[in-house]
Amino acid sequence: MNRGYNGEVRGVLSDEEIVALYWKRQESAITETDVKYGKYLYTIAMNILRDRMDAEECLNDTYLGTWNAIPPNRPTLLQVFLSKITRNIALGQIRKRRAEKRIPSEFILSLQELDECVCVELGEDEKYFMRCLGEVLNCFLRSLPERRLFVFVCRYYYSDSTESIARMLGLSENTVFRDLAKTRRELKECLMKEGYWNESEG
Amino acid sequence: MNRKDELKIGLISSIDDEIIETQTKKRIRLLRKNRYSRKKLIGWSGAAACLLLSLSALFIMLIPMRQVPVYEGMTVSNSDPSEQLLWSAPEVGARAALLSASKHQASGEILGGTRAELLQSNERETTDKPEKKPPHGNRLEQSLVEGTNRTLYYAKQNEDIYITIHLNNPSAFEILSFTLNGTKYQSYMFEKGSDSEALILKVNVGDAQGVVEYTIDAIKYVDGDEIKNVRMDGDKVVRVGVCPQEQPTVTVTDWEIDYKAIGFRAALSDSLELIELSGGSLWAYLYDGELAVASQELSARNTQGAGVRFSELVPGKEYRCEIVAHYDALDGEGFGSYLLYQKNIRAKSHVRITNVQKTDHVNLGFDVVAEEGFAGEIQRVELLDSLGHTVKTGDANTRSFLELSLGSYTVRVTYAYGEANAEVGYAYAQDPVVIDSFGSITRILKTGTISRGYNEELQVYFPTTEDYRVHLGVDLVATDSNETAVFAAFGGIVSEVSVGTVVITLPDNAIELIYRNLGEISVKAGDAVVAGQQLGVVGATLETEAAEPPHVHIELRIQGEAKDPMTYFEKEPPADRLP
Repeated sequence: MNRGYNGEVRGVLSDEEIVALYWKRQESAITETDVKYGKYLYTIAMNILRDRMDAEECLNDTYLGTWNAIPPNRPTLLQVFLSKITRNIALGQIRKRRAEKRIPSEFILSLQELDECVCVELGEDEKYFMRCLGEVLNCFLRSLPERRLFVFVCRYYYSDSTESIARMLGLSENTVFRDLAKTRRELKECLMKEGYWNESEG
Repeated sequence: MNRKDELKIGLISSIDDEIIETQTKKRIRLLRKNRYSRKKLIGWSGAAACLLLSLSALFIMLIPMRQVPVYEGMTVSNSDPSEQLLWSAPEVGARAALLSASKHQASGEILGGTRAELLQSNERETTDKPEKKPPHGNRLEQSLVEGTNRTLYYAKQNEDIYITIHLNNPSAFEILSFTLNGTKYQSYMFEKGSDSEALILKVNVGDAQGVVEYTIDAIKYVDGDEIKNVRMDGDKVVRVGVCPQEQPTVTVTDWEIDYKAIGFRAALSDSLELIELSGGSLWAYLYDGELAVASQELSARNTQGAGVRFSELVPGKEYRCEIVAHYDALDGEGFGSYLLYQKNIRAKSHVRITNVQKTDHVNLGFDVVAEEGFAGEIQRVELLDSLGHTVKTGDANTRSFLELSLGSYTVRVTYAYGEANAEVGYAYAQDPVVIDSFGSITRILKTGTISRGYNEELQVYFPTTEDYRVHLGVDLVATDSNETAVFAAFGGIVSEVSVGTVVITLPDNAIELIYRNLGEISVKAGDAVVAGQQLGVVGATLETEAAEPPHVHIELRIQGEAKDPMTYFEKEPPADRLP
């Protein structure tokens, strides 16, 4: 039993069953997605957008995007699949918002924090460059202690506030700040070591 | 958004799914855990602050207040809640997963079987799980106690269920034990996945039937060196409905059948009081075909038998009487409607149809007898097929229907009665009459013999072609040279006429009788022929049988498939004749 974002109380289907509904083109797939992941996706959108109306719009766009993406996709990890779509749509909205110069969100703040450790120009082959950079980042993240990895993902992927991360972990906010600062510093060193650092940019 | 921002977004987006998934699960778990601990110690009132010494205030600030754990309620699930990945816990009392519908597919199959048995049996009291009959509507969650909104969970007999005890325990006190239905459970007995705010306990429902209640009490926690009681704010009782094998049944007795009314007594047997407990109801319905024409509510408490009477019926007409219970069968399907009894019943008629008999295999004779003192008027006599459609209509004096095709028939008499004969009544023959023959083969050729029979498996010798072939018909040779006329065995449409061949078709039941090897042909395509009408004379026009003496070759096709005509024709001439 779960309660969807629209407040409807429903039984929870498994991811496989929900994906199967998308493949059968049954509109109940969207309802079931909302029941199971509505609040989760709403929180992701809200962290990035900090605007209820925009977050709800983002959620609806997520369902539409998922409907269009499945089939042909058959995600094995529906939650991650959905969160990526939500995040991408929310990022699209934040780009538009920036143009309109609206109030910055937690996402913008977290993005600014990364300034100190990401200082590089995109190469000519942008996609290849990003893939290489991604590999370095993933290698770096896997080497992190469990807590700092969690803090990093919460802060920069989900744009959680440092306060909420501290609350989740039962730590002080200062500890979270210290963890983030240390991780950013080490990431910077890692990127420099791997040659993804451009002094002129910095 | 500048390129650098895009680079940072792209970089974060490139984090492996595996990392995201792992951390997401952890994040969800922690969010759930911390849901209750968001309330911070705030609100130092100005008055209190003035009264307290600064040292006291400092002391209180340094030592965080520990909140007493509060019991919030219980939920039930059929699977281990610790394995369920829920984003956020909904309100207590509704958050645990109810049994999934798939768990009850098996019981649905049982219902299907019951339905089949009901169809086969005209009158029967269901002892198995009764049939659920749409469209009366279902509800997943149904309060069993009128006036409350308590959730009812469902389980099967001997099923393991997981009871989750929800606590608000922001200070994460260690929970030591609790008592459920008088049994004390220690912390080591809690299921894996239990934490300070959700204690999971696996219990077996056992052989219980009906509603099983689980009552919690005395939740103990450890505070330093002391063992204290958790504050009990939530509902201490959770209810689990276990589908009983013994469902309500009804016994119907004392039938009273009159011209315009029927009555009976219906005694309900509901030992677990499922109908009453679930606030359900018991109804008797009277159907005319698929249309419910009358209904009467029966008391679910009256186990001695409640009287039912339906009036304003049409004499002689057949009705279907059903007794349906609307209640929660505790099968996880919620509130539903169940057919407990079904019987077809015919109102008494002023007229009877007697002495119904077949003559000459294809004719039907009968008598119509009005009861003594009947002052009405017989209006018409009809022959109905198995679907109830009128095949033939006769007047009040009709006492036979002749030349019937294959099928099942019944006779209906319509009569007027009452004041100024303003009311209508019916009488039906008691049993249907099955016509399974076209009559004697002598209907085709008055005097003759079968020179070659039907054979689709063994090949028979054909002297004309000097080879062996199957013979998908019968050959009739006239034994009297003066009786060579070939007649239609039954009436129909001449669908085809070619050299030596006439095809008579009964379009309604896709029967074709093909007459071949005819000499002269006296009908043409499109003619409507009646039984006994001459079609031609025996001849020798069939090339493959030309060397044989003149005969008529008869083929029968039903639904396009060749059949042995002698399966449907009698070899012997009719012994009985209609008067």
